[in-house]
Amino acid sequence: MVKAQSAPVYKFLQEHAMNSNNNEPIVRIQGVTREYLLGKVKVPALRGIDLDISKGSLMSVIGPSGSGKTTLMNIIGLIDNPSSGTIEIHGKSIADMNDEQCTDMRLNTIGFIFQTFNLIPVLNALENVEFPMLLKNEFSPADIRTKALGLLETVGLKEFYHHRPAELSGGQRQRVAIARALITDPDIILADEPTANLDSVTGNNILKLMREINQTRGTTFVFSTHNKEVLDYADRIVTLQDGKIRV
Amino acid sequence: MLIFKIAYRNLFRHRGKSLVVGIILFIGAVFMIVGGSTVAAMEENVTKAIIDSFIGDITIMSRTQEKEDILTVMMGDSIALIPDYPRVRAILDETEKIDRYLPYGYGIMMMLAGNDNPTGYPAICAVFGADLHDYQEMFGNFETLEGTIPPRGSRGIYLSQFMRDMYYLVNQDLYYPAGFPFITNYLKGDLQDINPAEVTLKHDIVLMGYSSKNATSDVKVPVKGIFRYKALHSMWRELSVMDMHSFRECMNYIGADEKIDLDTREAALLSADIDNPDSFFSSVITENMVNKPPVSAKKNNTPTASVHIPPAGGTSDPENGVFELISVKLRPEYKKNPDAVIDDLNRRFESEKLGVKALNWKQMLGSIVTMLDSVKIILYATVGLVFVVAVIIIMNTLAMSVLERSQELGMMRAIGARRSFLAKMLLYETFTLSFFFGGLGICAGIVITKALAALRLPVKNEMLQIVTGADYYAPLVTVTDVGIGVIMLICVTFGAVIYPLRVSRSITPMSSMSRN
Repeated sequence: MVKAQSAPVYKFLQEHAMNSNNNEPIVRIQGVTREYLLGKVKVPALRGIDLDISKGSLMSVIGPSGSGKTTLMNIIGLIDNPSSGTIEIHGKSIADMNDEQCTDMRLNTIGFIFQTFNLIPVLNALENVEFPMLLKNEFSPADIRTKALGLLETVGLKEFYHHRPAELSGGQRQRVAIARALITDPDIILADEPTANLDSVTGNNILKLMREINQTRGTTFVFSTHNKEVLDYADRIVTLQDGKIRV
Repeated sequence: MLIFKIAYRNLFRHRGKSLVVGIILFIGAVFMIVGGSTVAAMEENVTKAIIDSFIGDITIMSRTQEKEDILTVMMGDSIALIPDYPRVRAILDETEKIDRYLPYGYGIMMMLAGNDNPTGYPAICAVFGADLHDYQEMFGNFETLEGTIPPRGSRGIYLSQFMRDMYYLVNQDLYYPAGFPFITNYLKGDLQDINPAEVTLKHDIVLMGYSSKNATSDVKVPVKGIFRYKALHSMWRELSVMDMHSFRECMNYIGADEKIDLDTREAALLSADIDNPDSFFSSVITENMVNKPPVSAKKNNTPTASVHIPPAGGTSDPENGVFELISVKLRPEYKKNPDAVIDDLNRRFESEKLGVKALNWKQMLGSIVTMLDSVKIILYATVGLVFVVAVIIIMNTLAMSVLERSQELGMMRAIGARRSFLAKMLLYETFTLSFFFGGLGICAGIVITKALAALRLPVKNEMLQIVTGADYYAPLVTVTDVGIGVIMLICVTFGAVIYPLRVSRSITPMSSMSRN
């Protein structure tokens, strides 16, 4: 039986509401290229990307398959390293960061929502949401539990806290993933094709939720998609084609 | 706790692989405990058998005896005599830590065919020279098959069953103890079907010693018994035991106190100019000298060759005369540390210039120790091989498990888990398996070992008896074995997890982005 302190549904959201009009970029990308070596052939995935991601924005990266969306998302998320160019997060260049520092940056600053949900199958919904906070090791388990329950309530899954991912639908799993991405109060959440494995109704609901969180909490969302219907939810659209931003 | 929760639940999630790894750890642990217990029992039993039943905790020999491993003394070599046995005896009597001791000799002898079998072939045998009564009291290692141990001071030989059978095969002379009916029960194989009327049955055996230092004598010695060794018979079966006086005569160790005065006729015989000196050794001479006392030897054990048939019956004090070796048994409370007693004795021997040295049994029987070490190495190598195979199988299974979970692990890395977190998770998984199944295996190994020890399964094969150290199999589990088992389990776990850890380190957050 999970014990949790009672709290207003959006109390912690109000506590974390950010000024969405703050124009300082969270992420600044300048002249970033990325090449992959396939045998002896260099395949350019990104060819000179310049991009600023502002606080509180809900940005969509759109483009056909092979345009470099995932590569760009990986680079923004510090999962991949650029072949050239600079990336700054909160004005700090990541060029000299080692693997551990990048990992810590991801933990503290960036949240991830994956296309395939990527929940830990042996943990239930509540434990999955708690996971990143337990990695931080800065808060008591009780506080973490309270916050996690609150987030599950936010995404409408409080009654399902004890269910494992195998016992949840696709949409429910993605909601758990969103709650997990939010728990560390990241400055930016990267969602790589978050609705690709969902039906249209569920996908729309997920996008609505993301927009709602963006508006109430001011969390920056960047999601990649090749689905043009998603455009309705974004306040900024970046179109990629052949590794370049199409103006 | 989070890591442990994930690790523990993952083991259940991947039940098949967990079970494979677990069974291997379980079997390995059982094998190791039982194997280690077998080696421990072998060491304990063999040591006990050798010390208690054969050679004692300490052996004293002449300081001039270069080759301490007397069992490898070549035929023809003799063992140096203890220079002043009475003074050595006095020191042993004063030493409180000593329970008892037995002076004795060891030599290689030839079993001769005898005058009634001129075409017979000799056989070589190894013989301990010691009072039969005192020897049995000291070691209790005779399992008498025929005959009986004579009173102290009596002459006679206790012939080993193996040598009796072997000599019959060589010469068709069959020995059995005088005063007892001839029986075939203890003859080997088809010898049991022999017709006594068709074989030459004898009570007395003619033995001649081999010595590099002096000429030796043929001595007719009555067979008092046929025996097997109770402990480690396969190791000692060629060794017979004869009384000390006969032994000395065979080896011509007759001392000055046994010197007698020659009468005129005997002195003339000795100094006579004989055309054929070899006739001194012929049977004609022997018959002429029946019932005559032995020819006097010079002092300091440089005797001349002589043939002597000792008078029938009669006893003599075995302590009167020379010895080559003294076997010493310590009181039980001092048995654990014989080297301390050895050091004390050597200091005393040195200070009193007695010309003797004390050794432990391993120095005395180096060849046996080498053989036992070889058996131990083979047993340990077998256990080690099992573990190497276990490590490889477990390593492979764990590595596959990591690769199968690369997307999940990559996701963990993507959302902020460090490499060390993944490594800890893997270690927790592996050590949980190791602790549970390995621990179960160790417990099962202990139970199995104790059950086998209680059963005391008989071991008939004589070579296997060297492994078990006795004629039954009773492994001995010790705290050391269990401790070594735990350490080996930890080593196997670490060894098996090294490669999977390397695989996990190679998993990047990019792995989370794979599209399935």
